[in-house]
Amino acid sequence: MPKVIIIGGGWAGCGAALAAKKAGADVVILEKTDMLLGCGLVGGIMRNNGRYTAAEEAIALGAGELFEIADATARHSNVNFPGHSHATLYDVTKIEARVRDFLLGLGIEIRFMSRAVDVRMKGRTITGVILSDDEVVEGDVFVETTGSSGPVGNCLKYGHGCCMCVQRCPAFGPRVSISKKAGAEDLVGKRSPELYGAMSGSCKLNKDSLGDDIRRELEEKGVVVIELPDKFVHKEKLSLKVCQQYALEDYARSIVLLDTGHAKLMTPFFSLEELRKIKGFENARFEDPYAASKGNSIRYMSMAPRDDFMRVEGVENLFCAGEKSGPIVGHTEAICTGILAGHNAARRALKMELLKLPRELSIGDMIAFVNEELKTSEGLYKRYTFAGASYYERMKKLGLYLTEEEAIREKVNRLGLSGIFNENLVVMKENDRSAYNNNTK
Amino acid sequence: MALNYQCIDAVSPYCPCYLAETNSCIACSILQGKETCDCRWQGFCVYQEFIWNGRRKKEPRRTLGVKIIEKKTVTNNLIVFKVLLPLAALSREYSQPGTYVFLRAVNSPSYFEFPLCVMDTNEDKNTLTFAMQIIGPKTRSLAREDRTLLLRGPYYNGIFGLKHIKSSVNKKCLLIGRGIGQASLVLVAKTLVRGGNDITAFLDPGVINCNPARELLESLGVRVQVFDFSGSPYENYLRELIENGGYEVVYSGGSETQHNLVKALVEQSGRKIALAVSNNAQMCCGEGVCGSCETLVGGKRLQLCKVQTESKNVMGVNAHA
Repeated sequence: MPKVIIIGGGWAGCGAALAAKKAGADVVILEKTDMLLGCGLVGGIMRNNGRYTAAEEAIALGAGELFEIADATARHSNVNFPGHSHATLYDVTKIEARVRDFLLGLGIEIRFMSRAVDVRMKGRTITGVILSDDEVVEGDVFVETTGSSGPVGNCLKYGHGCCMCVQRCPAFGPRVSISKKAGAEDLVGKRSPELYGAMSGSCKLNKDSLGDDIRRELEEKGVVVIELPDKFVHKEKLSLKVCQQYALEDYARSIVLLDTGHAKLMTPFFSLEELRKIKGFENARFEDPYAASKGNSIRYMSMAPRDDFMRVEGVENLFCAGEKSGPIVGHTEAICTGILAGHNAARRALKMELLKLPRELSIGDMIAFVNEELKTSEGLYKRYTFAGASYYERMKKLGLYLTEEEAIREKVNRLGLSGIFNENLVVMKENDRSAYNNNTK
Repeated sequence: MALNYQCIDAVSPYCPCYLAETNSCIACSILQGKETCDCRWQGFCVYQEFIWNGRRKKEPRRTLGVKIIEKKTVTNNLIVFKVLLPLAALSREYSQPGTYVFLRAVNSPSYFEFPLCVMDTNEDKNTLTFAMQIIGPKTRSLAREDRTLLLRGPYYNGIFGLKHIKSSVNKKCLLIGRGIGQASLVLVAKTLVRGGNDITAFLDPGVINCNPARELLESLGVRVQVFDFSGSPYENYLRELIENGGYEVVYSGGSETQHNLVKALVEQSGRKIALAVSNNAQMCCGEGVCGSCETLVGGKRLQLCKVQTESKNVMGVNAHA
């Protein structure tokens, strides 16, 4: 059976593992920390704006289980907040164990506290990844989903220093760009010609530390918007943000809180001293990053050049997804690219033709569009998401934004792609071969 | 696959050092002048330490005046002496295997400094013991001193494959020391004793005509056997021992020739044996600055006074055996 090694157990890696397993591969996830989901451990926003379409496309394509887990773990569904409609907020305190159990149940091997630091190559083919303890993990095809944020030095050079985010680099060691070790130079996102990266766009407050009224409203509605006194308005923070879909005037003028289990505060950081002067926040304290008074993690520091099959350019058997695959933002984006990368990894291992998703689908269009944009001079300055900013506008303009499940299913069906990720390619190939053998007998 | 090595001084009170200030850091890519992170992670971020320290190195090792409290001429070319550290320095900081210092006589110019392995330490009395082979002008000049010396240290990279010594627990270990190289066996043995290891040491007096490490090793409970390492009977005996003696860790303190023989025997045995060897690079500053220990390894210029790696990565590449 072909062996697919996934490097990084965030949402993208989980998506890749799921799709590669469904396609019939033996799958191992190497994760440097003690938990899956990466930034998804503190995120939680799904299905807002165009993400709804992408999630439904993934379900129709046959690899929607992770979206279904997120739906089933929702604290709130169909939530509207400034600039965003019909969001699902999953419970960040519960979802990791569910995803973990689900993937283990599929027979996927997950190796925690296994940090990949280098590769062993034969020509332009990776034969194994080397872990920090020198162990070599061999495989046929590799999918890199190590993300693009941190580590400590990048957060310090291009941000406000390590703020102790959920990635916990000081405890588990830094992510390493595996594509770079395999010979493909990293692309680095920019905020200005000299300044690299972008800052994570939200921090999380401990919900129990908030005043009763705010907490009650948050738990009831999923969202609380509190207007800020003028002296606490810092518009300059908007330009720092990764999440351009939340870089709206509203988010500088007000405190926008979302109930994801924590109280997600839609700004990269906030002086705790200032925050505590606001009614209901007198006892506030941060949950992620722990030092969110000061800053947040820096991202888009390490993206791999790739094609629309999600294959890393210049390496024969390396695929990528999530933030590693371009300046794309969000869990939905990570899962969708992950699914394609994992599926194509299995195809590559079986020497089958790779799959490209058509541009009639929002997932296919975004994968191709981001690649085109990266080839322009402004590409590295932008971020792309189904949920807002320029790409959501594009979705609407091109008619890609659909919110009726039936219409999406029909479209996928018309494209001949219904359930394509559910096909076990290993079995299919076996059948083909025996059919061929029978025919030639 | 790149060569795997680390900086012996990272995660020490001496990091960041001069190399960080000059974009030459061994561990951190940003402190090599690169744009983004791609470090040899050793448990902390060197760049962060550098920034928090005001973009400066930490206080470097100082040169201390130390009193000679014992001195014994053992043979015509070997002196064993003990120094008392002033209160500002603690001998326990000198007790890691592979620790060495730079010494010179008080009135000598700085280029008389030479590296010398710490043979033993006494934490209660705050003393260090050295064995010194008299070879050239620097050691001859130092041998004339009876009262005070100048000492700069501690430096830690005297052994390649150090992690095998430090992590060994309840194993069977073989230490091989010849000539002045045997001085490095004592701190190795002390660490192995702490790990509950079973230790045998082979000593050959070599050109110093004595075994200054013998008593110290025996007092630690190490089984010591004295041999003449030259000639094939010894080689055959050692081969037999490495193949069938059940050893899991082997340390060689001596010349490159000895290291190469031990390495060959370990490889030929086909057994899983961790090998550590004494670092024989020519050193002058110990800070990775002067260039005297710089060696081309796998296409990279490495400062062997600071680069810690498996012995196999650096053996056979050092011209100054």
